Amino acid sequence: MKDLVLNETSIRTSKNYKINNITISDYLNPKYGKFNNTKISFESEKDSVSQDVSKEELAYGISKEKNDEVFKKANSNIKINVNTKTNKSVLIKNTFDKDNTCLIDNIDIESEEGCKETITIIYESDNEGKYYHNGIIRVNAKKDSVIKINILNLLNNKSDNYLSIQNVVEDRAVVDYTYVEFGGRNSISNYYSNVLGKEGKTNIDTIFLGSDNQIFDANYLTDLRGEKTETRMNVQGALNDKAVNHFKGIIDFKKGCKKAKGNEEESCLLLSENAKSLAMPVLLCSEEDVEGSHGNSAGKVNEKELFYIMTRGFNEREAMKLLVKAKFNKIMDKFSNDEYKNRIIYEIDQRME
Amino acid sequence: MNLNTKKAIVGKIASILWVSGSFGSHVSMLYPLSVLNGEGAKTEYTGISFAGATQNLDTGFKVIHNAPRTSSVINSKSISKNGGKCTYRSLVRITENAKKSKSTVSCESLMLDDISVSDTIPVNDIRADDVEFSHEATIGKLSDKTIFYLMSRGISEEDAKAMIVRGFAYPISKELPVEYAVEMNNLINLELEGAIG
Repeated sequence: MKDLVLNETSIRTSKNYKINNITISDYLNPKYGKFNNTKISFESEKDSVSQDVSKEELAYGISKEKNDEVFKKANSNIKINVNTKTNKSVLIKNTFDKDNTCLIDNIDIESEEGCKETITIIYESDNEGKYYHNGIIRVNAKKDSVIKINILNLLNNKSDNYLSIQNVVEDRAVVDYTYVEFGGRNSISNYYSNVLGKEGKTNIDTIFLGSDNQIFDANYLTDLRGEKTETRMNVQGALNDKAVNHFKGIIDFKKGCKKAKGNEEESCLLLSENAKSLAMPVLLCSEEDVEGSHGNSAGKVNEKELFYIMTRGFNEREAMKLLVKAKFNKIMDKFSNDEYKNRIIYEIDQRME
Repeated sequence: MNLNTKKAIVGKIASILWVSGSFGSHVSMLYPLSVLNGEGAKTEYTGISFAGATQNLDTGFKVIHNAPRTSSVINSKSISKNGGKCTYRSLVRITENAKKSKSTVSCESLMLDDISVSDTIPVNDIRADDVEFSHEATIGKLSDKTIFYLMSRGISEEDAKAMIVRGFAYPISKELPVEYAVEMNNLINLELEGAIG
């Protein structure tokens, strides 16, 4: 057993702030094996999937050790070539059970110029076992392409989830993430977006819901390099019991990114007195003609709003659930498929019982 | 070099107001700290940094809420030009003891040319649920619309830009005693000479 130090930020702060990285104590390697419960479905015949994924080092990632684990021990390699110019969808559904306990996936998404796709990746499990997921998602968005990626982490609260994301965005391309982070005893995510091209856009909208002793650690970094590039980071969450959230969001306006826009927002609802939120929203700017802003808030449910809903006949727990769903609503609306939205609402109801 | 350590321990119903203007020194590191140890304690920080050529002004504020019903208001502005570097670092820590506390942080950065650098690195550590906390920050350049508006009133471009920068600094200068506010405005004018355009 050993202590594992993960998710180092590129901006260092004082050690006693305890936000430069996260330490997982008494870490044990999982039992590696096959994972046979991945279902992939395509809507377009033009798209193709192969196992020829990249093993090039990531610029960041959760840690070198975790990245190497994916490159060497991946039991699921998926490369999606996006060739369709009308927006079609791909679904990758991973279901953990007693026979499929460890998933190490390496996913590459390569889009051709002007192509569009919506890719939904689901990680779900029963409530019984302790499961392990470590994955890398790498997106290369060529000119004028639009890639939307929905990631649903619906694992149980005993499992571990590690996810590294890396994007390269060319001229006028758009890469848009919606990340639902509900599961995992430790859920560690690292997101890096390199917006190279002119008028490229990259967004990530995340919702998280913590309970028991869950720990969420998110380290998001966007480098804006091209002119008129845009980025948005919107993180909305609620924490119950002794759950903890660490959010590190860095928007870096590099020299030359004239007229770029970057907006970062993190808001955390603390539903119990033992819940904790630690946030570091960072703006780095080396270019004059940009617009950058960030906001961060934390606090408990507004008592007046709670009272108002309870006067309409809801008990306190139901009223809390309604307020949490309202908080997540704007991001949930990004799902065009009602089946996913309903699933998220179901998960909120279950996890807040 | 200006390396500064300033701390205040604030007791019950006490308050401390910090007003900071960082204009000089090649490298400056200044992070006043208020520890709100008594119920009802308050702290307020108003600060401005102006980094010119070869300057690296790394300033900010730290506050630890360690008692119930404490409050803090942090208002920081920075201006960088001619290759200067302004960095704002802050810590807001609300401990488990600080129920019903409030904290707001506002940070604005103005860049007057494209060779300067401005960074904002806040850390917000909230450990109690019954609190109100918010933080906001913006980075940008002088607004073209505002410059155009002033120029349409007969003011030259250089004077218009200088007026906007003085207006940006006004919330801080108004907190100072008159003689220091005049001194600060003169310093801003001196710094701005030849800096814009």
